[in-house]
Amino acid sequence: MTMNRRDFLMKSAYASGLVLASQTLPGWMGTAFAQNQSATAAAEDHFLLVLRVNGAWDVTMAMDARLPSDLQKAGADQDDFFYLYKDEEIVKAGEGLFAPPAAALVKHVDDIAIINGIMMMSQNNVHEQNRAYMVSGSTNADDGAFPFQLAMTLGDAPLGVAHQYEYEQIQTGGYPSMTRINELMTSKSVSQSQTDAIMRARVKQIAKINGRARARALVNSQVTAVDSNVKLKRMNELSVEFASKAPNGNDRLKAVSSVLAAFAAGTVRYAVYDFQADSKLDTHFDHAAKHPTGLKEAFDNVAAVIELMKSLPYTKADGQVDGTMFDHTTVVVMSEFARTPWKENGSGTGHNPLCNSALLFGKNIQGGRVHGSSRIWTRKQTAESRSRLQASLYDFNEGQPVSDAVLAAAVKGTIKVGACAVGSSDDCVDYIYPESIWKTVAQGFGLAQGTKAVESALTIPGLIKKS
Amino acid sequence: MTVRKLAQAAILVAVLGCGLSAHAEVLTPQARLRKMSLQIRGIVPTDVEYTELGQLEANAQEQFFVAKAKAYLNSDLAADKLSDRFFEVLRFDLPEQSLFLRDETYRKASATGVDLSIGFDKSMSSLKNVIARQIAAGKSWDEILTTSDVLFLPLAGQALTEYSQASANIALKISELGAQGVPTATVEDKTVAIKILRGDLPVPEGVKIAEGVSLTQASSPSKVLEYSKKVFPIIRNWVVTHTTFTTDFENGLGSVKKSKGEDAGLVSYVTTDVGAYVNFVLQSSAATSGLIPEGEIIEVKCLLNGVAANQYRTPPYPNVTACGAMTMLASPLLTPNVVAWLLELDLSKPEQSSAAVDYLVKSAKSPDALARVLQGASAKEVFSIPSVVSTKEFRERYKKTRYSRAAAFFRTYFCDDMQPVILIDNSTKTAEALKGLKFDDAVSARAHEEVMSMMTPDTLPAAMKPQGAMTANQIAAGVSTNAHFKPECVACHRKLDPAEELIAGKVDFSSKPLEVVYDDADGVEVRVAIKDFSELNQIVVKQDRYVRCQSERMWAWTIGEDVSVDASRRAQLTKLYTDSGAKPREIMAALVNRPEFKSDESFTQPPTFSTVSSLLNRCNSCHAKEEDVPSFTTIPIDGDDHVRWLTKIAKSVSIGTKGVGAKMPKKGANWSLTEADRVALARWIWNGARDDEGKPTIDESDRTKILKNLSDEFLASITAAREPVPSFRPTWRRYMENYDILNVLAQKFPSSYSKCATGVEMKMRGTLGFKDKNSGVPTALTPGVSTVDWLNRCFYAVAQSEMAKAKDLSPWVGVAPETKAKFVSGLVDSLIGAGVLEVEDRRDLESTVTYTIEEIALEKGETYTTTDASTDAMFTILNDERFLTY
Repeated sequence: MTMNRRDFLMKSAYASGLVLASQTLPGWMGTAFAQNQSATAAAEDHFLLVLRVNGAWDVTMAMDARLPSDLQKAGADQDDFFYLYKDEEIVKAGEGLFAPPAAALVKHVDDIAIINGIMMMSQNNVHEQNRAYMVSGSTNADDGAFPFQLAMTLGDAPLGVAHQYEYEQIQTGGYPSMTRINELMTSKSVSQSQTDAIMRARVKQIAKINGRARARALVNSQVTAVDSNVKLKRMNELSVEFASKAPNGNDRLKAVSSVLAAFAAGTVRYAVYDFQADSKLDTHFDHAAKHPTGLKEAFDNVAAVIELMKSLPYTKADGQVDGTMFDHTTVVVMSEFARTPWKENGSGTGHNPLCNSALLFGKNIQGGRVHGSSRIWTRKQTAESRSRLQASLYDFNEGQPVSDAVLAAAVKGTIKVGACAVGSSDDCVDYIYPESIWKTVAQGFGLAQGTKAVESALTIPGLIKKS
Repeated sequence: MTVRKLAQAAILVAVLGCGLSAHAEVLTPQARLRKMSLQIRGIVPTDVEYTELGQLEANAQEQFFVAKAKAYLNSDLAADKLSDRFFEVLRFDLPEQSLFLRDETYRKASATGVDLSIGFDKSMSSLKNVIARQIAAGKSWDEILTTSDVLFLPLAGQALTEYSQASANIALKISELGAQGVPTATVEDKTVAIKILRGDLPVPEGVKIAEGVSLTQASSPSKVLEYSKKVFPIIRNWVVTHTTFTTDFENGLGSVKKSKGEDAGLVSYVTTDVGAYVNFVLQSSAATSGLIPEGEIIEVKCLLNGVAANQYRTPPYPNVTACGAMTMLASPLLTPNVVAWLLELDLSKPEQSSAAVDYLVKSAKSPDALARVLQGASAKEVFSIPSVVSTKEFRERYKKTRYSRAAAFFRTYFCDDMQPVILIDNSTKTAEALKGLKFDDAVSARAHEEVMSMMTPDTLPAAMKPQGAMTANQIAAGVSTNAHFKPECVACHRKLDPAEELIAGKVDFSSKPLEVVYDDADGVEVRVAIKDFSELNQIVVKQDRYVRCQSERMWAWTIGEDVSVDASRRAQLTKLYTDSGAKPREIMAALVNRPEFKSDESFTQPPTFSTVSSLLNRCNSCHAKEEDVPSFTTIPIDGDDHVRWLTKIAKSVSIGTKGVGAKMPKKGANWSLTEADRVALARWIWNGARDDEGKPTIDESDRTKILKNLSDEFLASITAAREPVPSFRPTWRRYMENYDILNVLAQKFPSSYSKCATGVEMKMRGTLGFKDKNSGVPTALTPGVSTVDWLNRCFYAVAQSEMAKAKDLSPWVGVAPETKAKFVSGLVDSLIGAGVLEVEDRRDLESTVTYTIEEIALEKGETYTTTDASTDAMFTILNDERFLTY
């Protein structure tokens, strides 16, 4: 996509740091954004929202459910699989099986792509490290969360990447421009009206300056004819409007609505948000009582996000309505890993980095599909004599899990798996790792090779709609 | 590169004069002074200094700068700032300290404009203070880095603190006795009491602490005193230095006292059952009800750990884990003789306090005292290398793997940025995940047959052939390759392994010397045999790589890392480092008076190899032991193959495509090039890949071959005139960093700065230029968006507070234009400094301020008061880059 002069000026205006949701940006902010100017101006009306459901979800209680009768046939008993539901409680919808806590997703099944059987750090069951891996597709600490990678590769909007982590330090990958999501809200500090006034005056003043020797002034001088405040005001207005459509008293949805408002106003393009607190799902005790409640809350909110996005029109710069926010936003819902199928501490479940799931919906996502799968290995089938819920190997050429025969051959060592070269014509069998998800998502953003951190990953066939 | 692009580039180059014809900026004398002051001390000069400078002739100004540099560098603030740098080298978090200035007396003094000497915390309670103290004492950089003083100074400080705490507590208790009607004790009595308390003297029956009152006759609060000679020293010390639990200690032992009698019960309880005592405290109602703060409960647990390890640490303890790391004990230094001597001193007097520290350091170094403070541990184990590497702080910071300390050693002493490389391919990762799974034998056999019936080994796709990679079965069987045979591992471990053995004290020198291995600046391996642990430091400081590393650090701190150190500058810098005896203050005094400090002319020079050498050295760190890969830091690279290697490097890092598609560094190498790195590399190549002496090593046709298919945009970025870009890194132009901006606010507005100080210290760190301890660089190179909100509130609050002092509610619109202009001009002088800005910049800033407030006045009309306008004007200046950078 090429930029016309107006686009460039508008980007420059934001790059010079003249707009911020709840405060004035001084001129010195310009350098923070300087590198954005040169970024490719692609996918400006395509947004990414990553929702992190922290604490590690029990995928078998949600979008990777099981029919107990099938498990029994496979020889798994209650010691192998700590399961609460009966066959009749499991709902089959589209290609998926949904357990009661994820019931809210069922009516949206045609919009949602589910990825089951994601392999995380098999030798590491620490929440934060797997969460960082899942949100970045990389185990390299230098690589930022994927929204930051996308911003670095494609460029972003004036407020940078919107983010809000529950407690961890945000992984920026060195990308300098970011705004906390709660700063997108319209609540104002005491001095707000005054600093706004100063900002407006500064914008006008800078617009009058012509050619100066220093690069900073050069950047600033390019804001001529741009009223930077327009989009800021637009974001604040939309924030109020969008928030009014979010369920009352639901802070999570309110925060999401403010992100959507920022997307719609063009002040933010990528965001990552901790959508569910760690403590609600990390059920090392009393799993049966507590985990379904936490899961239900998360999935009810996910369903509400879908409904909210579909209810919000997207208005282009020329004032024409172009579908809804759902049509312009790709959403990835993730957790750090699954939970063990066996009981921990008598009533709880433990961390399971051998499996995970993700939900994707919105722009470019082919809904109604389930990619990948997981498998229960009974305690007789593992060296540690304890059952496993483990991702299954995936055939990246065929876009489906491998047969038992191939799996057995891989376990036995008859065939080698996991050494697929990108673009290889050889059969590629490997686990679905987080990097595959992000590379596929990146392709939906027009990045054929993905971002640098995930470029060597294989992509998941059928996840992105064919254009 | 297409013909069109070449033509574009040629035009651009012609226009820019090889892209380097930018006008050099020379700082005004006042700007130079401001930069010098901020850089050395983290505060700005006084108005008096600006005025004085402005009145001098050019020649006299140079003398003024020399004198000022010396004065600034001799200040305690400079020592503190340099110790910040030292901590950054070590990649330690800077200690949290109260905003803004670190010494209340400074704030009071500076408010009167009289005294600019500020005292850092000299309590010796931390390594940071120890380093600052050594710098202030004029020690050489080599001494600070490589002598054992850094180990013993905190120990002495700790002993002194312990002594002082006990002394203060006993004085307090005696005073309490006085409050209960017991006459205040005499000095002599206190002395005796302290000695008794420390267990240095037995309690003689009937020792008098006041007329008519002896210790054994004292009432309840003195029980601790009374029994101090009997209780376990650790408990005793802890109790007397810690008042919170004293009540519990004295009042909460009811059951034991009842069963054994009061006196015997107490003694028995404490001396025979420390664990029970600790448990008592932890389980007391105060603990369970939350009345005892979590931190203090941790301290008790820590105490228990200390008891178990026969160690004592002075509280407070940061966390329980840290308790286990204590290896040297201060208490044994406080022998009766030492205590008797300390009692003679007035430790509130700096010279006497210093004398006490020096004495304690000296006595700690004696073999007898050392044996005592180490509590039986081997000195070799505790500090194999008697330097900062063996400090408690260093050991605690670098404990992730057994190699962590060794890697940090190379980074600290040789600027060799060791990075862990974990190159795990997917086949290994996936095989790991398959490990431990088993199908029933029958299923497995059937599956095997099924697969093999479809494909024979000959017809298996290459990706699925098992040879060459580990299978799950191999991994399960424990078959693994020895990591240190892989070239990318050997590249670091040939250096790390000997150093690790040395640092861990594992080397047996009786059989043979140890070869310490490092690479010189050209990437050539150097091996040095050492015969004893203590020899390492002496040898290290003599190595060229060490001198180059340390001197270039000082260059970066003072001149800027973006001002390249070419061959000529390096020779001068090395000479300066050695001639000055490696004394940082002397070196920096010379550097701040070099032309590069006040002029950015060097930015107009073509980049030499030094601008990319550290980047390419990181490539060496993995490839050094690959047979067919040359050193990337020897120019020309691989002799006649120089162009081929440059082409390969440019391609492998995807130099013009933002790194997308890059093959190097490999995934797992744990680092990647930034866009700035790629631009620097391309810029160097574009300008002829000049060696350290500035001679081009490639011609234009080579350049075309190496830098193919660059986008117009990238080409423009590498050919554009290079200008200093302010950052939080040590660049030529930089933002006020760490606590600087806050210190300056405190310096300028001593009565208002606190308006924005509340509870922000830690939150602001990431965006105020504090270095991230993992990467060694700030999280954002420039002030990030998240900083703005806080700074705005801060600036606005300060501006409001300052301007409210002279409340003027008259409408701004009614003020005469010349008065307005004079006001704005005065404000710029006051906030940035008279004469600091060049004429054009000053005019621009004044115009900005004037326009801003006039726009608002236009909008608000007569309701916009003169105070409002003053506040907004001040806010605008504080937010301006010209205030925030130097």
